[in-house]
Amino acid sequence: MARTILLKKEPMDIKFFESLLGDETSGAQVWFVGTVRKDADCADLLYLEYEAYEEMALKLLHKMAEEAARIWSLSGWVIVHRLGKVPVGEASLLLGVSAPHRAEAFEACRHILERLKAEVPIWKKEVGETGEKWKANEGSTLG
Amino acid sequence: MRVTVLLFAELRERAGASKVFLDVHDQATGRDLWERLAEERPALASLAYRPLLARNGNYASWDEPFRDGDEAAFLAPVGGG
Repeated sequence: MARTILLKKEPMDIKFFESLLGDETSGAQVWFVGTVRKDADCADLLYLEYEAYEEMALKLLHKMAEEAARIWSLSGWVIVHRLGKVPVGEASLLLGVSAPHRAEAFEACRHILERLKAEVPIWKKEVGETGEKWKANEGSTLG
Repeated sequence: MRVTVLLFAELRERAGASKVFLDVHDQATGRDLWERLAEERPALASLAYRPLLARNGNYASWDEPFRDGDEAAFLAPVGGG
């Protein structure tokens, strides 16, 4: 029963992580892959650089996964977030959950993702051809 | 008492340090820690927002008193995912 939460400084082998979920009681797995993209805000983006308060981020991610597991009967989860430089087109986040049925799996995956983006102490810097700047998520609180 | 303050991302760049040791009075709050930090590193004082605070890896209110040996962190708006 996979309960894998990692912050990873190197590119992730998505196929390897996907193989970790799945067991006899889970009918459904839902996977989210977040990849680095250029957008209107940073059209000349080269890469994102991620930084984390690792101890706190891991503690919070474990707590979020366990809370989601209780609500949606999850049998397993995999959360892998990149640290360091992630170029355009590469995955920065892999998030998978397994549950008995699809409704629970979709809900749990979405819930964990939204909480991660709002609360977990991970930061990203956009590095483009003409400059760099730290970019906050829309949902994250400003205090 | 001594409190370790961790800084990341924009705050780390402004302060020029990722870890700062502060000697403060007993029961100093997050607010006290920030004031001392901003005094010593003025580039933090001009921050456009009030950062969030963590005490020993948990979000904390700015009024929460710290203890000797605690680890504080001031957190810019997050950007994970």
